[in-house]
Amino acid sequence: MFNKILIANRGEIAVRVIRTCRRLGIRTVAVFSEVDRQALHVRLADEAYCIGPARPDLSYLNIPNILSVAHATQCDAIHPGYGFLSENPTFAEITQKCGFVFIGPSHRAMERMGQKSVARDLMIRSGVPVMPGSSGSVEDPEEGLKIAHKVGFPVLVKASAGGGGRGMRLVETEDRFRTLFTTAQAEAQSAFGDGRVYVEKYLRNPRHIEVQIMGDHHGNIVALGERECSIQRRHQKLIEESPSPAVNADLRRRLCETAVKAAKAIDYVNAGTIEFLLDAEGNFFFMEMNTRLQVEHPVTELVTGYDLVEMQLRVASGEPLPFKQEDITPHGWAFECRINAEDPANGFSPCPGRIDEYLPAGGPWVRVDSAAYTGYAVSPSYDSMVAKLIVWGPDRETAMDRMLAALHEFRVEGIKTTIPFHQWAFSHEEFRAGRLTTGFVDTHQVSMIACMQRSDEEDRNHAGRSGGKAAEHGKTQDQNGTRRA
Amino acid sequence: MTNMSEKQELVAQLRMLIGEMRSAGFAELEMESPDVKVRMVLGTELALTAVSPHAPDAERLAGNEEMAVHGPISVTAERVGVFSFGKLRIEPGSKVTKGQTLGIIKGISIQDQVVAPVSGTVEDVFAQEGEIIDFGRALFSILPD
Repeated sequence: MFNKILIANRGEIAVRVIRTCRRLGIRTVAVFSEVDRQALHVRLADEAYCIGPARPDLSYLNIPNILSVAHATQCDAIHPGYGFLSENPTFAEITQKCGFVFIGPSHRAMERMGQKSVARDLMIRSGVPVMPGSSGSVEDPEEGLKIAHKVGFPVLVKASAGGGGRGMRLVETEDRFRTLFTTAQAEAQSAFGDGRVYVEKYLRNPRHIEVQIMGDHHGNIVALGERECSIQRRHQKLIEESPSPAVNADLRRRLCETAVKAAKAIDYVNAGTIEFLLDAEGNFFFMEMNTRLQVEHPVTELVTGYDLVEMQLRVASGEPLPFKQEDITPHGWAFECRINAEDPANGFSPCPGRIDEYLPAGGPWVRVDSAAYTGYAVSPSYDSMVAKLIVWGPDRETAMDRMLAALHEFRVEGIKTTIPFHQWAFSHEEFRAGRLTTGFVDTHQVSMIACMQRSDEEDRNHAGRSGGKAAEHGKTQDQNGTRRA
Repeated sequence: MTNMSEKQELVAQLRMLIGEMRSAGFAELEMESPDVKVRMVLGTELALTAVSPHAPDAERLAGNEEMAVHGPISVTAERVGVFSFGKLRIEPGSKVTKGQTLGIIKGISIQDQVVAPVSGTVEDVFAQEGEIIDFGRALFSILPD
């Protein structure tokens, strides 16, 4: 096992990694930007060094400075967290060449999964179901149109090097195809310096189901069950759960087998996630692979009982996985709410600023992964996540009730957060019934915004009266006719 | 919180502002809060002037940024690595000339020379031989001739 590692990240994930390292007796080195001097990961790590100004490209993406700290502090390995350099194959490669272990997959695996049309092709050849569409990238709009006809409209034109919806176009009808195809190519070229695109069938309102896998250096790859992340807004996940209410034992077995097959195709090592789209008939299709630890990993930890960061550290140091596929039996139900500094009543616009009061929820089966505290300022330079609220219950119903109770207890004053959104969702009949699709938030947007505005108003009316807010949120939902636990 | 870290915080905030001014294409910015008043003008050469009569901190800060100036100038690290002195051991009272190497910061693949931005007398030496230096760390202060 390692003696000392550097964590090339900030926020809750840096704190999360430090916590496991402490338990395992591994010393930690934090890095931070000038605006993060007072950040929690800086305080909790054994050592911490400033690596640049606020701008991510000059600090958290500054490879020479990060490696210089790792070198000067004699670290054995680097944990990249998620975001920033975590899926950068060049960083993974340089890290290894400089003599540190990169706690993640090989740069080759990352490269292959990073090119979406390459990944798609590889999956087809490995027998993993993909959405019907082109094999590899398409250059000519006429050829693209032929494929669109074959699979049927609507179709998606997607950038091969893409991500985050850039270089992606939804084409509903034939007459729009040529125009949108060339727009996607141009956008892909300017956004990624790579104009290659591919065409695939567009699934309306699917469910987002993903499988957590973990591989070691001894050829073992194990699937740790699925997560459902259908509650999203503009491809940003808001609520995740494990298991999925749409997955039975048979489907789970097939999903897990497929995920392992996909990971084996690239000799995958360390933590990874295979994302699938699930249609209403129970067919699933490979979407992409995330070659890192994910934000929503805690729900898997709560139902499997394994610390995924510990597993990452163990396999990166060369140990074999301590479990086999047959040892993995999900137990109970877990949910995660991403509490962001965003205003759900106003298009989820970011609301950075100082947190005047931070009182996280607690109690049995409640976990909060966060780097926030009273007085902490959410910086506009980075993502707006304040905390992840994670609960466990023996069944979905109990877990939902515990989440609602925890949401009512959680207080973040001074900035707007998505807590009211989560309270709305966990009180919504469709959500409670497990009828989820990626279109959930858009479909129910009007009633959601009305609910947010009402709770805003009640907040204002009761401003200054302490302790009344949580109860008021509950009352608001009753008046909306949605169910309250 | 110490006075030092408050100052570092302020420097950090100013750096962020400068970055944002640049990306937004602003050439000039004036800002006032109860304790600090700052006016920044961006040219091809960066100029930063603190103009508050009752904000000595801001004035020292301007020194920190190696710009506007009366009083000592502080030499800060622009890179991360292990510090070592050059052949000439710099001590308080040492005379230095502009461009003279004061020490080196050794990163993983880069060796960065720390040079005197002005000629003058070294007032303080904050860096120690073999010490790990992080970004923005004050290494020396020099009183210009």
